[in-house]
Amino acid sequence: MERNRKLLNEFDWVILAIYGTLLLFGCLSVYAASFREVEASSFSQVLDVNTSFGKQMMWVAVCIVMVTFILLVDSKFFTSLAYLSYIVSIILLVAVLLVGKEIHGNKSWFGIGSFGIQPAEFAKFCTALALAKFLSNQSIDLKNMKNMLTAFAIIGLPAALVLLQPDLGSMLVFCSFVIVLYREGLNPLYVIIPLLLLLFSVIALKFGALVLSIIALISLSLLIYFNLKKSLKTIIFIAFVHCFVIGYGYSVDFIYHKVMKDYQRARIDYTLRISTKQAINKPVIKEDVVQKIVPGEKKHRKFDDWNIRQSIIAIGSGGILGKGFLKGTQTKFEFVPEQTTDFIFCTIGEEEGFWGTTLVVSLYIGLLLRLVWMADRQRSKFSRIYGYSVAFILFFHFLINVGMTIGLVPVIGIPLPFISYGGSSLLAFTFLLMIMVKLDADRLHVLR
Amino acid sequence: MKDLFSSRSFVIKVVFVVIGVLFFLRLFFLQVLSSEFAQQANNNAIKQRRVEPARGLIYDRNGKILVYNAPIYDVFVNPSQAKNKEIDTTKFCELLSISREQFIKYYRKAKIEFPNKQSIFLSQVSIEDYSKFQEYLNQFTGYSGIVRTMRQYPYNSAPNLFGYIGEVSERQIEASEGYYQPGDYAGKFGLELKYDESLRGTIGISYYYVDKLGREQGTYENGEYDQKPIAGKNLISTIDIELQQYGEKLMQNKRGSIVAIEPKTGEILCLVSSPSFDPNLLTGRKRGDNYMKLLNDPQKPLIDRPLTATYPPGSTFKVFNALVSLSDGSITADYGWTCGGGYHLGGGKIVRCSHPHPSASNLMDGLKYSCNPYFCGTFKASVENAIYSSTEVGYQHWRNIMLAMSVGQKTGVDLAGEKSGNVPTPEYYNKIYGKGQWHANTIISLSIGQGEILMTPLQMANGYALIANRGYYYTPHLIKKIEGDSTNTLKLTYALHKTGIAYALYDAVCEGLRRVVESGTAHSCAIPSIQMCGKTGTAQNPHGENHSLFAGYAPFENPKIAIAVIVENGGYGATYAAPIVSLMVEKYINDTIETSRQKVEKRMFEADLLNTGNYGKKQEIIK
Ligand SMILES: [Zn+2]
Repeated sequence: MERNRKLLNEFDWVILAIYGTLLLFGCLSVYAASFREVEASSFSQVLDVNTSFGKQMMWVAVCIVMVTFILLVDSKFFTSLAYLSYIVSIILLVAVLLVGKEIHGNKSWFGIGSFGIQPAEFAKFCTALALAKFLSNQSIDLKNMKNMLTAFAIIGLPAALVLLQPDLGSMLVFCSFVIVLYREGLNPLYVIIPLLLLLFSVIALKFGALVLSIIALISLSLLIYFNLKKSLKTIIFIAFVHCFVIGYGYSVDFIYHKVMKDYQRARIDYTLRISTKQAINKPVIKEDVVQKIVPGEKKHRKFDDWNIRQSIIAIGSGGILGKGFLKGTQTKFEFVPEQTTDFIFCTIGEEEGFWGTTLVVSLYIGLLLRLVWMADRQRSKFSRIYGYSVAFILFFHFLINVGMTIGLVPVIGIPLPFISYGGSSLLAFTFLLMIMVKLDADRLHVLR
Repeated sequence: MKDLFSSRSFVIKVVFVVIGVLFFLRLFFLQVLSSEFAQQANNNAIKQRRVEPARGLIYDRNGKILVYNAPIYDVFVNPSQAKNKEIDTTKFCELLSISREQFIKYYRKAKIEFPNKQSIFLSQVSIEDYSKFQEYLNQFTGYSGIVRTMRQYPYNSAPNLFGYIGEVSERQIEASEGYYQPGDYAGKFGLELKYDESLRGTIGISYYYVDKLGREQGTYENGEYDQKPIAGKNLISTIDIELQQYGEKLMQNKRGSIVAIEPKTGEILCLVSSPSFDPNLLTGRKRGDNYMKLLNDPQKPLIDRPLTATYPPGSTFKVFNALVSLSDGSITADYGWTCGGGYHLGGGKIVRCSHPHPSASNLMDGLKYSCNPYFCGTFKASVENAIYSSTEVGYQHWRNIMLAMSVGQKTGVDLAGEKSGNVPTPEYYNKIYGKGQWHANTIISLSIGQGEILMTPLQMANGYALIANRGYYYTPHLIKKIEGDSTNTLKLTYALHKTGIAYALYDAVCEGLRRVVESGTAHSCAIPSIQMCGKTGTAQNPHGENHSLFAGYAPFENPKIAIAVIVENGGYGATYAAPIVSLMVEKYINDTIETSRQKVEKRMFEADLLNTGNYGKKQEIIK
């Protein structure tokens, strides 16, 4: 009895509360997004496992069982299974490419009856475990080139496999582990250089490669003039960097115009507010065909700027107080695409309004800050690294998903953790978070 | 080392917070500051539909329904839902009585225009066909039916009166100032056209939700913002439908018109145009085909003869001529004429009588014998009366009084397309003969209703209503009341027209007309129980057999009906027109035909001019 109370006190109830709240938000939103007034669903239909909501409720029940299980098991169980789970998830990622069900051109599902399992979702926390295990070894130092490459390989392998599906969203999530490495002492250039390249790309696309090269020329010249020793070596280096930037700018331009498909260009155009010849007020386009609901879960990646505009209309039309639960016309009448999964945030925005979206954003930021704070208080390196991984996985999902629904990030199909419909992602995120809660609860029992 | 890590952890926390704030600001902008999105969302999901009101009904003077709305169905298809491969098309076509080619054609049209939306597949399916179709509707996925209304005419009568409705023309859309939209139905002819604004009512609007594919998803706010359609107003007409039908029966197999007017009010009791047809032919899906058939029929059933056919009035005109001469004092009722060898025009030309008769010693006998020279005399007396400075002035005066009696002048009846007929102007004769070069004798044929003079059957009936009233008439009309709800029922008033001819001057004319039936040219048509007044006419027709005319009123005292009948190519007025008038009068006043006269009725019913050669080759008799 005494021991049980002590055990309960050790859990971080802030995180558990946020988790519970988000889960509740998720259930309500999935219900609202899949609710059709015309079909006048009775309560028995609501709980039917053939409806989206019924399925989601079943998964929530599974999650609650899993949470109980994870919180009761000794945390050593997870550290010891880290590599094994990683290997299993890599095998599954390979297998899904070979025998997976193809849905909307993506091979990311194992179909089992009317259910589907998405191994990429589980690979995320398995990779986190493996990376934490590897880096927590006392002899590992990221300044050592060999160690660093091994760490990159642990991340790169699943990232490459999901890219083959292709699942760009999950690939980007795997990239978030680089920031974990940064936290663990990786040279900041590994983070700064990709961010700079992203900035260059944006400038090149928005203002053209020429503008990029002019900006680069001016800023580098100023750098030479004010700051650096004006040695020949520096000047040559700067000139080289300049050439690279120019080359990069034109490559981005080339990829944008010649390699990308129309719909991809449309997403980038929208995000960067590039007005193109293809008319800004495009009418309901033909491409926007009926998406057949695949047994099990549905997901497709055929978005374009009509969809994103509908998403913004949905959120914007919610106003301050929202239209009320089940009253959102944008979602109820399917103007918003993929509203139970990738665009679930629209349902919240439309029906609950500004207070609802603010609450969800606050809950996420609170969760992330709490996770970082929690990771920092870990005595064990494993727990700390795992904690950061959890924070960044959730952060990337949050950033891309919410960012795309409000038009700040290009459309990339990726679920909103704990809220989006989908058993695999819900279960995987629950594992991910609860393992951290358990590790945290056990931190005092673990040796440094 | 510790510092490095904690500063990096700080950077990470800052990044999280910055992203959070960025999202917060963006959401604040979208949800709080911007106001256009709510409207855009409504534009997406809320659509409005016009709800057609029920068109007004038309009643006859005794409260019988003449025109009502019957249900008819439009079949719709949503090509995105239709599974044509799975349905039994043979059965489908059979149920809707269409051919396979039509099925394919209609489906393609719908699919090209609205691939993802419900649109019309087949319009105006009868309730009989639709009820059979409906039994199998669940087998025809993607197809549905919507009830509309169609005009129905329970009496199968008076098509020229009611007219018909059809798809609005560009001009009607423009003229309606936003009421009509392409594809709507509006009155195209007859009362449906003339009273369209009253009959059509007010369109309602209902708001409803649609989903992304345009499928309907229920009403908006339970219809709170809907505007209910307001049903069209009903028309109470002046027509006596039984008299109309009786007239149509009398006129069967003949070409011509019957117009009857209640003299005291100007209410038109019947307006028969023969040959007639069933107005129901111009409703429903077969309308187009039927219309073409009627249009190409050599007997021209689509022509509204009472209003648009003009004829020389012949001897029926003599009363008007006499009235002018009486009014300016050129003659008195005692004016006599010796009808020896006819009326000499000079140069050896003579206007003769069609039959021998005793000389007329007064106007009454002149009318009774229908003596042509007599009325040539009154005409000359009036036109060349010394009170006028010239023949031209005299004729101008004569013509003005004619126009006042609605001869050669539109009556202003509440139907479109009325013709004015013709009384030539003095300028017309000046042009032909030269100014001052023509005299009464030059244009003497006018006096007996021949020559250039032309009247519509409606004008003839109206002229005799004026005589029955002894000096006035109300604008003849078909609608007396527009019946909305209790607050906006409108009793229509029509203008009173006076001729300015003294009341007493009509005595002789009326007495003359009474004698025509009692013992004159129409004595064979006398009705034992009713004192009828009237005048036969035989209009010369250069294209064929003469037209048979009769115009009159009854009873002599306190007239209840004024009537004109024209039977084209019917010969003498007494042959067809007079018996038909007498039967109409008897039917209207007594409601039955006396046994002694039923043989006349039978003869009229059976008279067939269409198929006995009277209408042989020459078809251009209608001017
Ligand atoms: Zn005579």
